[in-house]
Amino acid sequence: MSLEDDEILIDELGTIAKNAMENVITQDLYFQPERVNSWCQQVMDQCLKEFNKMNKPFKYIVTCFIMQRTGAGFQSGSTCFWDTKTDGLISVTGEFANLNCLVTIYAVHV
Amino acid sequence: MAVPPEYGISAHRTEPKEEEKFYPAQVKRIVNDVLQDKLEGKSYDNATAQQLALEISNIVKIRCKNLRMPRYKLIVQTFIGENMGQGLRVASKCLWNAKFDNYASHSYQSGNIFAVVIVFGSYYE
Repeated sequence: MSLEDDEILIDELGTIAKNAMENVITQDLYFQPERVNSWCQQVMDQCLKEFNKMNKPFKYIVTCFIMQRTGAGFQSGSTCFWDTKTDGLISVTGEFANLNCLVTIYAVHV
Repeated sequence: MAVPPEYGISAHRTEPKEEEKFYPAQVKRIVNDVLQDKLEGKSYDNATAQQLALEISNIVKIRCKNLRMPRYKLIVQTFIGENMGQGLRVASKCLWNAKFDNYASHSYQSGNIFAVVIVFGSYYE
């Protein structure tokens, strides 16, 4: 399926996010409060760099949530007030030995 | 045919007016009120947490629409979790126009529940 100049494939964004997550967070990492912020920043930076390279007329918002695995439950929900024909969101989760990670990407058409 | 002077040249706004911008402080107040209201005295329950998260997001979005922010697209994200003394971090990064786009966030915890709400406002240029 060929895309117009101002269209994006939301699944592509999801794959980029999943790859960024797996690059930064390896299986042997355990939760360290002094380093978790830099992990979040690295994941988001990698995502945004790739999105920027795509050169599409979109604004991107990436949120990254990293939590220590202690058996606690968590839920996330979003509501958006936008143009459903041109804007979209995708959410990817990663489960690692000692961490849970959730990355959500919102793509808003300019 | 010449354009009559009272019509001006162009009607497309490229910037929001001062009073129609996204002001984080106002939005933060709304989020604070909604969280206090919805989560006071509640404890985390896996079955209802998803619905609670969506409810909170919806109410915050509806209240934000009442503020004067025409042409702003709003995104409200709510995280609700069980407070078991674990460590966690919520972070966000955006690729947008920093002159008009902004965000507001607030967190709440009490007993065995915690919640984080982030509201993003993006101007439709």
